[in-house]
Amino acid sequence: MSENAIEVKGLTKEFRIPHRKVDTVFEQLVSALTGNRQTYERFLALKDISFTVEKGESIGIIGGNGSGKSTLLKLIARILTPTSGSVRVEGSVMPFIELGVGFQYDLSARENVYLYGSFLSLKNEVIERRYKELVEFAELENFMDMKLKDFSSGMVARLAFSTAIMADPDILLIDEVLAVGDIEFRKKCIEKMNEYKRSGKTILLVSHDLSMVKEMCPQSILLDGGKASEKRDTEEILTSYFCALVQKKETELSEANAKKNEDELGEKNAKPAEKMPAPSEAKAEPAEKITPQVIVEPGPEGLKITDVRMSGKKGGMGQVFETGESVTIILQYTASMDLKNPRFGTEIRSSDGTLCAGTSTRAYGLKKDIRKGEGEVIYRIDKLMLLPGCYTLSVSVYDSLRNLPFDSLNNITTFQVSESKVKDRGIVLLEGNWSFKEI
Amino acid sequence: MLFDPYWSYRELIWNLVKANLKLKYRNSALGFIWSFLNPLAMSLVLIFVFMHVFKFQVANYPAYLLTGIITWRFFASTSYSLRSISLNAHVIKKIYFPREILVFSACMFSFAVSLFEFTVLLLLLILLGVSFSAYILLLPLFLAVLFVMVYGVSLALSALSVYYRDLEHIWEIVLQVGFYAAPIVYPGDILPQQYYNILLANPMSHFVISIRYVIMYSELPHLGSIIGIAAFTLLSFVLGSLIFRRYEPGFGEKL
Repeated sequence: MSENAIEVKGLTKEFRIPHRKVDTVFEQLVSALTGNRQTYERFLALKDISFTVEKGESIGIIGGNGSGKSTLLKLIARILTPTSGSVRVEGSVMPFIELGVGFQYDLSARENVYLYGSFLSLKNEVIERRYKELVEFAELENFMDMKLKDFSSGMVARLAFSTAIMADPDILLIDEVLAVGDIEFRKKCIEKMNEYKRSGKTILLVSHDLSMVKEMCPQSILLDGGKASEKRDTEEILTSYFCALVQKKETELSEANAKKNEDELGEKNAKPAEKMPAPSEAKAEPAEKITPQVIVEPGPEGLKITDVRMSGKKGGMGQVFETGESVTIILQYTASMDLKNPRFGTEIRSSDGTLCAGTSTRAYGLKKDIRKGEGEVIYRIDKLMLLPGCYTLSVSVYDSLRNLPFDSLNNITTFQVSESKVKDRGIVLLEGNWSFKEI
Repeated sequence: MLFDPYWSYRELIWNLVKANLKLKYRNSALGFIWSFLNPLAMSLVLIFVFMHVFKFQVANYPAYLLTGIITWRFFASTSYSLRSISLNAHVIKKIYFPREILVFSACMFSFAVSLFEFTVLLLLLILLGVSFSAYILLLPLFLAVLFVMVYGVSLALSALSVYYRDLEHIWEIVLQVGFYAAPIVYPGDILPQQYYNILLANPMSHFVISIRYVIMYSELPHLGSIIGIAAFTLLSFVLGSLIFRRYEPGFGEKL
C-alpha cells in the first residue's frame, strides 16, 4: 500500500455545461417562477480510469487535445473534484501546472517569492535559507527589489520556476510548463527535473513534446477520448498512439482521395484537352521567357500542392514500407502564375517529432522555373534507411527569393516502416558491419 | 486539530495579509490617512445634519456617531471579502490549498485595517472628551467576536457569489439598508416600539450598542445584547461554514 504514491480507482469526471447559463440570483428567480428547469449538456472527460504510480516512478501521460490529460492532472492535484471514483495520494503534491500564479505585479520580486512560495506551501524559513540559491538559479541577482511589473515575461517565468523548485514535494505533476524561458534556461529546467528523478521523486508528466516524455518517463499511459490505456513502455505507447493516428489519417485520406478521384474523373471526361503535362512543357521553354513582374509578385496563392503520393517498390496499397525499400514521393502542384525557381522540400519525422530527414530541391542544387499550370515534382528515395516505426511526411514549397512559403503541408501523410529483417534499434539504419580482429 | 487549516497555512495567511496591506498603503504614502479621511468626512456631514438640522439630543453625538461608523465599517468589509474567491480564480484553478484561507486572509486584512481605525478612533474620542474605564479592556473581545461573525458571513457570500454573480450588487443594497437599520446615526430609543424590533433583528445593532457601552459609557452591555451577539455569531459561523463546504468542490470548474 505504502509503495504507491498515487492510486486512481474508477475515476470518472463529468462536466455539466448548461445550455443556458443561469448564474445570477435574478435569473434563478425567473427560472423558478417560470418553471424552466436548467438543462445541461453532459460531457464525460474521463471514463472509469484506474492506475497506480509507484513511489519514485516517472510516468508520462500521452494523448491528443481534449483527451482529458489536464483534467486528470487537476483531479490528482485536487483542483477539481471527481464525479465518481477516487484519487489517493501519498505524500505532498506539487503541481507545476502553471507557474507564477498569484504573483502581485505591484510588489517587488523578493516579496513575490515569499507570497508565491507560501501558495506552494513553502515555509518562509526555507525560502530565507535558500534565497541566494534561488536568485542565482533565476539569474536575477540585480533585480530582486524591482517591481514585478517592470520584469520581462521571461524574467517572470524564471522567477516563478526558481521559486517552485525550492519546494521539496514527494510528487510532481508537470503540465507543459517547461516551455518557458530561453533554450539555456529550459536546459536548466530539464536538468533540475532529472535531479528530482534521481532523488526518487514521483513524476507525472503531460507534454506535447513527445521526445521529452520519452526521455523522462520509461512508462506512460495513453489517454484517448477519456479512456486510459494500461501503463506500458513509453516507446511502445508512442508507437501505438502514433499508428492509431496513422490509421485515422489514412482512412480520412483515402476517403478524401476517393472523393477527389471522382471529381477529377468527372472533370477529365468533360474536358480532356485541358489536361496537359505541365512539367515537360516547362522543360521545353527557356527560362528568360518568364516575365519579371511575376517574380516580384508571387502572391501567397502562387502555388498550391494539390496531392502528395508515396509509393514503394512493391506498389502495394497503404503506406507501409520496408527498411531499405525504394520509395517515391510525388508532389502534384498547381501554379496560378509563372514562378522563378520555387523550392520544393520534404521532411520525414519520427513519432516523437524528431526530424529524421529533410531535403529540398535546393539542397540538391536543382533550379527550375515553373510555368503556370499543373505539374509534378518527384523525389525518389533510393533506399529508405528508416527502422521500423511510424513516421510522418511534411511537404512544402517556398518562394526561394523571399523565403516565404507558397504552401506548406505539415504531417500531410503518415507511413509505417515495418517488418524488416534488421534488428537495429533507433530511427536510422547505418549500413555497416561488425567484425572481430585478434591482435 | 481545531484550528486547521488555519494553523498549518499561517504563513500563507500572513503573507497574503502583508501583501494586501503593502499594496494598500505603500502605493500612496498617505494611504492610511486617506482610508481614514473617508469615514471622517462622512461623519462630519452626518454630525452637521443630525446635530444642527434635526437637533438630536444625544450626549456627545460626534463620539456616538464615530464609534458606530467605525464598528459598521468592519462589517461592511464583507463586500470586499465577498470577492475573495472570484478574484483569485486564476490561483484556485492552478494550485490546491484550502480555499477558505483566501476568505480568512481577506477578513484578516479588513480586521487589521479596522484595528488601525479603532486606534485612531480612541485617540479622537479622547479629544472629544470621552474618558475610558477598565471596561475598554473588553473591546478586543467584542472585536474578536465580531471578526468571527464577519468571517462566517464572508464564507457564505464568497462561495455563493461564485454561483450567483449579481450577489455582489444585492449585498451592496443589503449593506445600505443595514446601515440605517442599526442605531448608528440615530439613537435606537427614538424609534416607535414596532420598528425597534427591526433593529434587534439586525446583528450589527447588538455589536454597535455593546461596543458603545464598553468604550463610551463605561458599563457592561445588557444581557440581551450579549445574547444577541452570541446567537448571531454562532449562526453566521455555522451557516457560513456549511454553505462554503457545500459549494467549495465546484470552485475549480465554475470559476
